Amino acid sequence: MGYTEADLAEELKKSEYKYGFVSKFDTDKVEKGLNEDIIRQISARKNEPEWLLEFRLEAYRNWLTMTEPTWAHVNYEKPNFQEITYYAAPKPKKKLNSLDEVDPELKSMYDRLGISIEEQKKLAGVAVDIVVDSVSVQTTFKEKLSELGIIFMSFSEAVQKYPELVREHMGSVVPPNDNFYAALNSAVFTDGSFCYIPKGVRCPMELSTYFRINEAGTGQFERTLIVAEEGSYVSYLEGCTAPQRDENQLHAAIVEIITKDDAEVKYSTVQNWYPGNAEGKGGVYNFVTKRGLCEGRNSKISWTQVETGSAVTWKYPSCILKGDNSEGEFYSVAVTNNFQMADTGTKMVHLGKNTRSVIISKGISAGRSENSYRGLVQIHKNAENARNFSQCDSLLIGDQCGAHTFPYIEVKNKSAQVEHEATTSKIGEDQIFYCQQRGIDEETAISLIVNGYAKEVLNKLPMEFAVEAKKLLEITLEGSVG
Amino acid sequence: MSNTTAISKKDAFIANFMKRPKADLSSNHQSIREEALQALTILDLPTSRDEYWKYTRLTSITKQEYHHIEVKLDALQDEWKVEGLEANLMVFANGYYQPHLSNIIDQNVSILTLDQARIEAYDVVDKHFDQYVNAQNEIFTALNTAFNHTGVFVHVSKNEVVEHPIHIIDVVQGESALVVPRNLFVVDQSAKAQIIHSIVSNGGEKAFVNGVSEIVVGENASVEYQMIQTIGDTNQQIQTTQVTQANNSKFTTGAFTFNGQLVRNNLNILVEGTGCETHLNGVYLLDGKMHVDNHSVVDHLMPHCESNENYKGVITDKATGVFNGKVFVRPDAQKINAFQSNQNILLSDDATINSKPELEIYADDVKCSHGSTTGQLNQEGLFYLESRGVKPQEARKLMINAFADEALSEVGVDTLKEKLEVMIADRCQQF
Repeated sequence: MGYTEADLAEELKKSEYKYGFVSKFDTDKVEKGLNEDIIRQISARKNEPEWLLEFRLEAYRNWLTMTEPTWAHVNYEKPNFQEITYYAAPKPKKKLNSLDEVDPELKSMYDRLGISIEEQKKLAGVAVDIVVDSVSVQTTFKEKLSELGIIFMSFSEAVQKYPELVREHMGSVVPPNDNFYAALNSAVFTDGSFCYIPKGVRCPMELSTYFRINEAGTGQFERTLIVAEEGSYVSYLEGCTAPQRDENQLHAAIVEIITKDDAEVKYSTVQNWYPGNAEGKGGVYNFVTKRGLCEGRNSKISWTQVETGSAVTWKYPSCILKGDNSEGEFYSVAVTNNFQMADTGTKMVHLGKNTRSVIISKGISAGRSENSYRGLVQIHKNAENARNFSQCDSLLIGDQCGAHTFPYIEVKNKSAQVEHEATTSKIGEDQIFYCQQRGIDEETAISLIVNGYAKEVLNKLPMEFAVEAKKLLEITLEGSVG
Repeated sequence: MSNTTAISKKDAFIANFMKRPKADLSSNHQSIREEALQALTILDLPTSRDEYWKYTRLTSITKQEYHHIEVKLDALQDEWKVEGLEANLMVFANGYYQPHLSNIIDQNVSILTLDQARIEAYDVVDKHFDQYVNAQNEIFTALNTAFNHTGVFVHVSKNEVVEHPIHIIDVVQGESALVVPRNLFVVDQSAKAQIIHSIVSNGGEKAFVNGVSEIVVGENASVEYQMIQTIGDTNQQIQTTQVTQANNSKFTTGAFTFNGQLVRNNLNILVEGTGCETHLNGVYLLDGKMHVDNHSVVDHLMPHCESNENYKGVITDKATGVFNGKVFVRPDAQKINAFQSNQNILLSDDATINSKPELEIYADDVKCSHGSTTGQLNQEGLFYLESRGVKPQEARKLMINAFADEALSEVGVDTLKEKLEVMIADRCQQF
């Protein structure tokens, strides 16, 4: 009998989340619930300037008037926003000067993930800004970056040190009243990362942040702001793994990117939030607003994402191509298993002349999961010679999962050239057969095909990250890949 | 506040339908009508906030006042007919049957008006009428179910073949006419029928056609239903076509839209049998401020089926084209081959296309794909023609013509195909 797809489906069901463990930190929390007082408390604890408190309060008031979006092809129990603790920070023990001083528990946590800081540090010089429960614990390589004038620090630190820079750009791409979860984040965000690349600087290393949700019952609301000045370049990596929990945790982040003339930002994500167990219990709700603004001429923003986690995902990294000749890219692999639900895709809004965008989306659904691509390509009236190419493929493993494609194409300019294509199929029996007759067993063949299928996207990841991405893909689809 | 105005707007709109006295119906059909009337008290007029109507605003339809204008046509215009085609002819003007212009050749099939059929073919009507459309959730279908008077009824019994195509001509005439035609086509096991449906204008202005057709394709049966819309520049139409297919059946349809201020086609095909074949085609050639919206749903409930969808649009001036095609593959509907394509050419900077090809797949052993393209005419093709001495303007028309003609491949009636080719070529002269 050999390894069949039924076996694969069975194994997929059984593969549990490998990174589920709880690190024991002392945590400093505010009481749970959400009201203006809590927001004032968060703001006060972080010693924020008045304008930021106002920003939060205004967002909160907006949020109160909004309703949760229901259009996505997902089904979940709505979070109770009064049951969430909006601020949890590990208690600062002491200032750290070197890696040796890093909390041993934190270190072992990363060791178990196979992404130890030492390794990261050595491996092609990645600077890691570790965020545990919303507060940046340690920042490495800071000196090296500061020589070039690059600012890379936690959001709250940036608010203290560069308030003008933060104030100018924050909320300019994702306004606080953009959508329900963006408003919530704007009101209660605790920390995140801030990155500023000055004019003409090419960041010599990949900037990287690992987020962890650690404290039970805490939502994580982080905010990332990347500003790339004229002619600059940065490659930014974001990775997420969360320990196993039974109750659903809410993750509502905002990422804003601004590129000026000739600047380029490459933003890569590997997302591995806890997806819930094989019965669909627990897991993270990932409701994220990610948007980049290509403000300047010839600027470029590239999103690459590998999504393997979360019980429910609702995420559309977008590009607003405002500057002439600007370029947007979106490369995505989304894997869902068991009872996971993902509604993800991108928006490419073409405003400027000669703007180009590419969308490559690869969905893999297994178990009883639902995987949807939802994308918008909008060519505005003045976007002369805009060009878009979209390809959205879905792969189905097992007969109880769903794969859906919902593209929206809106064209208002005759010179635009917009192409969209999508396919949905299972792993071809002929492909497996071909591998088998070459002496490759069925299991290896399936893994080979899945990897090959996602390769187009994985290849876009920076080298150091591609290793981990492949690892996560393997774990999610465990059984098929060894 | 806004709620009360919305209700009164809806009521004012519905009042137009109520102007015509209700026809007497048998108790069964009367209860269907009453259910639809009941649904109308709950249903609201759609806005662009409804996903289903996202790209189409209906105010141009709903803000107007309409009348029921009874007319008797003197003669049919040649351009309404299909030249060289001997057909079973059913003619209606503003929804009123024109017996003197209609002509039934084939006697092995019952081709009646729906109100005749309610008496003469009571059992068939009773079994199928309103059984497939969704009058409870869709306001325009509910309006049709509640207020239609007549339309065409076709019943082809088992193993019968309708030798001559059935040609239905719906004429719109007069000012602000409200036309509510309702058709029912039942094609039994192993039977075959070809139906051509023309909606034409005879100097009609500001009319609104709210049509519904139900098509039942029996086991091993074959049905072709082609719709030609030359409804007139100021007239508007919402046409809902609901199809169900039984095992091993074949259904082919086309929507060819040449004019109309606002045309919305809802085409829902429920593939309830295995081994079915479904073909959907469409061409829309839009200029001025036309707005044409083609919505289609192919719902595969059973395995081993094939569906093929191909819509082509050429849009210029300030016109807007909308395409929304949806393919469902339900759990256990394995071995489905579904293809969807929507291609558009924009010729002016004020033209708009909104395309939304969707796939919703719940079975794994399937091959489903879709493609959507929007662009200009192929520059190389134009250059080639010009290098052969064809004038740029002519080359352009040739290219548009060739582009649109590709959607005619599934038209089975040769004379109709020729007519459509001529109509497309004529229309291309205006681009």
